[in-house]
Amino acid sequence: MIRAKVYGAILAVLMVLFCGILVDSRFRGHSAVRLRDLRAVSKVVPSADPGMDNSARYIRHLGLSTPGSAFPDYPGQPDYLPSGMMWPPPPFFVGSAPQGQLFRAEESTTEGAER
Amino acid sequence: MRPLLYAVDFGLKGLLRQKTKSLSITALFALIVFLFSGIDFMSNALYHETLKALAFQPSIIIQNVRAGRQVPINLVDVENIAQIPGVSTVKGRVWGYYFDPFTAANYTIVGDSGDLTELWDLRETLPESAPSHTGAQPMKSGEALVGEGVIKIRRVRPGGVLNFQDYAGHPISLKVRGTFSSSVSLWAHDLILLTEEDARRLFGLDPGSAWDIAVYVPNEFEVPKVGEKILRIIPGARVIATNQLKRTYGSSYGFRSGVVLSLNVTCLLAFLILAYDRVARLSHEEQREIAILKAIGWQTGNVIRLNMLQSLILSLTGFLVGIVASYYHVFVTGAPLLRIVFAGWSVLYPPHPIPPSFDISKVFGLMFLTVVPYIAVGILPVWRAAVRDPEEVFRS
Repeated sequence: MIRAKVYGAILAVLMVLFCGILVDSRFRGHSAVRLRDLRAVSKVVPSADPGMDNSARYIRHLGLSTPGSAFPDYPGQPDYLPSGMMWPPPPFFVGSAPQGQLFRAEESTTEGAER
Repeated sequence: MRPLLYAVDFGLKGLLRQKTKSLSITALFALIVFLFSGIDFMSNALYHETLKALAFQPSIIIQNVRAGRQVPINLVDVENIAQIPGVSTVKGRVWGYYFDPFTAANYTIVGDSGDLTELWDLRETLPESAPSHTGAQPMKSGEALVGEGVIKIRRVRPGGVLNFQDYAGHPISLKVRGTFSSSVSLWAHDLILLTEEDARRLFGLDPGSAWDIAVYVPNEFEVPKVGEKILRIIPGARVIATNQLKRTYGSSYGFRSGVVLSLNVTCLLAFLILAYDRVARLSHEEQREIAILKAIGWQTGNVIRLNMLQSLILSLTGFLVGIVASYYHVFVTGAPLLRIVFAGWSVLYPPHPIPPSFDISKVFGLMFLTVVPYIAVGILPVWRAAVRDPEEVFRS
């Protein structure tokens, strides 16, 4: 019976840690103070891309990115997706970047009226 | 309750007889869960953080494109865009990158001379420039608010001076007025905020143009129509909407986590082979154990239940250890093992852990995909061994 009790104690500790994860994610992940800070800084940050990828042009400021481009942002920059890699960037990755036109300009004779 | 405790005790006794094997299976189980959940935690948290920030970003960004490259956009159309029904604010933005050859880091430079009252709470300021109670304190020319990463890599402190070169190579000195707090380091780590005039001087941008135009549309259903009308005003412009960026972020993080997950499939396969080996081919000792249990009166169902209990003990322990370790690794230590995969080769990494984003349904999904198959795969071989005549097993 002692083995079951010892294992029960170990399991209880693990379950407490798991519950701690839930509580921690609830408090830290939904912090109102952080959200307020984020709202404030978003007024000046040019894009929503996290800054951890500032040199990896595919992520930072995607509006400017050119997936698959051979031109680095600065001399000697290691390429995030080197052209010699086994797999090329997948079509969905390239296609979803804002390269093409999102909106289609419709010819309208009532432009003035719509405004 | 008591019979269950006795069953657990008996099962543990069996597992402890093969201590090394049981411990290695638990450790391997924990490692698999650690790898898979870690990737999911990281990509999910980054994606959610990006979406949170995107909620405060402009609904539409207009860029000017020539020969497929972005060029500064003329601000002459700002007034016309502001007249479009549904548009609340239109703002030309002055920003760009600055490559620092001494540190090999790229800084994000933003020029903004607007009302930055909310930002005062975010920074550690110089004593003499503490926020006044009368309202916003606009930044003066020659001053900068900088991210923690810039402070660290350039080894300056608030009050110190940062030296840059403008587009023509002329030196520009900026006094560091304060830093952004760590709560927003994911966005502001590499950020340098200047007055608009200073940023224009740095980039050589004339007053009649900006790098892009931000358009705020409060009603998201009006965004497509507003986008179409913008294209009539500035034909050939690149119009980027929030929804498009959401999709791009989703596929980008999905792609990155997918690449790592596919690399980890080999680990999963190795584990599955081990699990199959453990349960599909019972050792002679295990078969003898089952035969003894049958000989002393255990039913086949009892033997199968005992085996399931043992599998549950191993897999549940490994699973919980893996999940807890993974959460600690990603959201407490800042994922040093996985960060490089999601971060690329950036010089300035925000060192602070990402705020947690924990999806309990995904955790249960992972549990269903690991614990349940591990328990289920052992039923058939144990049943096969249990229905054999004990005498036949003893004689073999």
